[in-house]
Parts: sequence; C-alpha cells; structure tokens
Amino acid sequence: MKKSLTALWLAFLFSLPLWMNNQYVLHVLVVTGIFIVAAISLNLLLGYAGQLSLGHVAFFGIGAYASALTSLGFSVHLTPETVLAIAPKPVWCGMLAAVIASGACGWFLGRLSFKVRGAYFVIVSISFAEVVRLIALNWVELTQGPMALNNIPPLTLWLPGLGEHVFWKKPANYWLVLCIAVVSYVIVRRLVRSRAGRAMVALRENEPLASSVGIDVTRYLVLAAVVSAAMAGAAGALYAHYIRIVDPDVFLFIYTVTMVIMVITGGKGTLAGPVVGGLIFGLMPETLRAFAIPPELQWIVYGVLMVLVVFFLPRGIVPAVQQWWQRRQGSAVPAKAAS
Amino acid sequence: MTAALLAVSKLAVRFGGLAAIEDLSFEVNAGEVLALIGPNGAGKTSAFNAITGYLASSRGEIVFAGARLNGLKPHRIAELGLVRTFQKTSVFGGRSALDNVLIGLHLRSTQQPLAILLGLPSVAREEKKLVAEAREILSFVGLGTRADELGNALAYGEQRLLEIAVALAARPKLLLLDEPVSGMNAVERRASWRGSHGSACSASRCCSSSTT
Repeated sequence: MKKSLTALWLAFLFSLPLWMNNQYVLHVLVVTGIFIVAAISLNLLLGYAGQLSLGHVAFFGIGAYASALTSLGFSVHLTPETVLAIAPKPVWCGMLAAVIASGACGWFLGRLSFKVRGAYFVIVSISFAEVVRLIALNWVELTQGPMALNNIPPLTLWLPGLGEHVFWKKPANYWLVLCIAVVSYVIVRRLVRSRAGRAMVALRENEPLASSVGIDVTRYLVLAAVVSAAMAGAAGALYAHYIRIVDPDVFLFIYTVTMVIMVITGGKGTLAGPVVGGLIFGLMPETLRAFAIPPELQWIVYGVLMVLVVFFLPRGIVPAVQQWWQRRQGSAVPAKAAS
Repeated sequence: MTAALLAVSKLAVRFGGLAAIEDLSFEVNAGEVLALIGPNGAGKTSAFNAITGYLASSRGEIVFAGARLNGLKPHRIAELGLVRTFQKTSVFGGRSALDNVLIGLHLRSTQQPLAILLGLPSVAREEKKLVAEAREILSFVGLGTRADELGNALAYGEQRLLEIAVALAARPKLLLLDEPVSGMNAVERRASWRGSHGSACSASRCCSSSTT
C-alpha cells in the first residue's frame, strides 16, 4: 500500500515534464527542488542530530563555487611567484569537487562543534558563512568577486546508447534535480534508520545517557555534519550549473533562513518534512504571483502562513498529519468493533 | 586469587576547595554485588561520575579489567564494559521504549557508515536481529507490552526499568546503578529489584548506590 503510493507519487513527479509544457513552472520546480535537497541536508543536522546550523548556506555556496571554478578553470597567485592554475575540467569533476570541498568544510565545522554546542554552535556557523561570503567577495582573482563567475557550462552526461547529453533544457534539468533529490532522500533515510542515525538522535535527546552506553558523540556529530555539508554542496553545484552564474550573493543569510523555514514548517526530524515544507514554501511566492497579488502582500501572506504553521503545528506539518491520521485510524477501529 | 574486576584506590574528587571525595578505595570482584551507601552528600554519585569518566578525579587510580580508566571518555569506558545509570531518571524521552533499547544496543552492532549509505543487505539483516534482541531485553525487565510507548509517556517506575534495560543492552561486565529505586514505592522497588537482580545473576555484576 505504502510502496505503491510512493511509486505512484514518483511516477507523477517523473512524468511531469512530459505533459506539462510551461517552461516557467518547470524552472520554478527546478529551483525549488534544489532548495529541497539543501533542506533535506539541513534536516539531518538540525532535525536528527539536533544542531542548529544557521550557516548552512555556506556549504551550498562552497559547492556552487567549487563546481563552477573546477569546470571553468582558474589561476591564482599563491605568492607573487607561484601560480596555481587549473585547466577547465568536465562538469562532473566539478560536481565531485563540490561534494568533497563542502564535505571537508563540514568536517571542520563538526570538529569545532565538539567544543561548542547550542547557541555557540549557531554563532560559529553564522560566522563561518559570513567569512566565506567575504572571501568570495574580496578574493577577486579566484572568484571574480562581485563581477560573478559567469558562463558556467551546464552539466554534460554521457549515457550509454544515447551518447553525450548536455543539460541545456528545462526538462533535463528537472529530471536531474529530481534524481539527486531522490538520492539525497534515500541517503538520509538509510542513515536515520541505522545505528548511526540512532546515535545522532540519542545525542539530540540525551547526551550523557548516549555516551553512557558507548556512543562516541563527537564521531556521529561529525558524520552528520559531513554528510549534510556534502549534500548541500551537491545542491549548490546543481544551482551553479543550472543558473550558470554564481556571485557572492549565494551566501546570503536569507537562503539559510529559507532552508530553516522549509525544515521547521515541514517537520524537523521527519523524512518527509523538508520535502513538504520545501514544496509549500518554495512554490508559494510564485503561486501568489500567479494570482496577481501585489508583491508587498505576497510576503505578508508568506509570513502570516509561516507564523500560523509554527503557532498551531509547532512540531511541523508532517508530524501533525501523521498524528491526525493515526487518531482517525484509532477511532475508526473501535467504531468498527462496536458495530 | 584473581585480580578484582574494578579496583578504585585512593580516589579523590575536588570542586575547587570543596572535597566531594577525600580518599575512596574499594574493589568489586567478578560475580559480586556491592552496595555503596551513605547519607545525602556523601559523594556516592560523584564517585560514580569519576569512575565512569563524567568527572575528572583529582587523585587516585581506577582500574577496570586490567585497564586504567583515569582520563578516558565515558563512551570509551562503556566500550570496556563498565556501564552506569543515572540518579535522576534518564531516558530518551522522545523515542519509543523499543528505540531506547535499540540505542542501548549501539555497541553490539557493527554497521559502518559506508555500508549504511550503500544500503548493504547486511545492515538490514543486523537491524532485524537488533530489534528482536531489543524486544527480548524489554520483556526481560517487564516492559514487553510497552515497547511502542514513548519514553516520556511511561510511568516513573517504568522509566527506571527502561533505564536498566538500556544499560543492560550495552552488555556490561559491570553495571553501576546510581540510586536505582529512589522515589519508588515498595511494589515498584520489588519489580525493579527483580530486573536488576536477575540481570546481576544472568548477565553482569552490578554495583548500586543508595541512601541509608
């Protein structure tokens, strides 16, 4: 029952570009999908390991820059004499570089959070994102600073039988993002339903008790940070090769806030939470625009809806729906027994 | 005579100028049940905390099964087979009783992160085994029917039993129970005793502290 529902849902999502020709809607879905991947990655750290990283966009941006720079090539003067030059590499190398670079930064931040927890971790993560943004803005030789990296090549994929395919068109990009989103979802699902995920939840729920039964808290915190950062990096790389221009604004705090909103409203610590939250809060601004609501009112509606969700469904939409469903099932069974 | 399982010698714990423990020495042999008693503030919990790595001792030596415990992290000490419970009821409140015990089984599972990410069948097999084992432990302490209840939703006495179940899941060689029956009535005490005493006989040795 549940499996066929998932298959149906996936079939719907995958067939979407076949029967819907509105390019603009597809574009909105691609961008939303990229942010959903980022929200899924944030959920691992925030929802399961219980660490609020308000600098999550740093990993997204590092991924975007790493992938863009690898596929464009660059040369930097390390000292006035020595020059580090990288020739343009295929785009998939860039994607790989994005995952590795972001993962490494996640490792670094995870190690740091061994010492700092709670509010201090939040501050460290915000500062980290801000420092990375300033570097991207000021290291003009590497990142072009505010002039932005442009003409980033789209992803090319060699498929057996089909030859080389360049992801110029919207449907191709849509399928690509959908595939990456499914992979991210599966990775997080496997992780949280295993020993590692239980250790992360244990650390969130009761750290002293977790270490009393032999859980190496630091190790699992670092694991969560690395996987989460690498996934956000992949999302960043997708963004870079889809939008095809990257400037220091990818590090803006508002993107972190968007991801946090998606996770919190959808339901942190649930698998479907960031997907549901991401679909609602990612698509809403565009939907409101379609109804020709003036822009200032759009953001008011957005804000009011968010406050309502947080106020009435403090644990998020997905846990609330689950609870409602269980209660309905629960009350349905005794009713049947009575009749 | 064989060496003691746990040997504490000349242990001292100080908080600044305040000496919580001045000079504590005792030994626990394999198969022995030992009680640490004393009035409130005598330093029983501090002793447990120092032995299990939650507090730094300022002097003295702790040797468990031939290994020196001084300066080791709590999780390393648990790996060696010395597991403790807490004075204040301490369960994973937001998780079901079954999940609580599954977390306790952490040291008994061998899945590596890479195998988990790849979704190898060995991981799924082990998960099944772990769930069966967790149910067994739960019914052993008498919580078999409460497996799906949230930790927070259990009655106080049941939470204390769950604590013991979580500690037992880690397969300790020596179990340190910090006031296992504090705040319980006679019936609950008896139930708890059945749980912990049974475990002392079957799986491990325990050492508990209680106020007089």
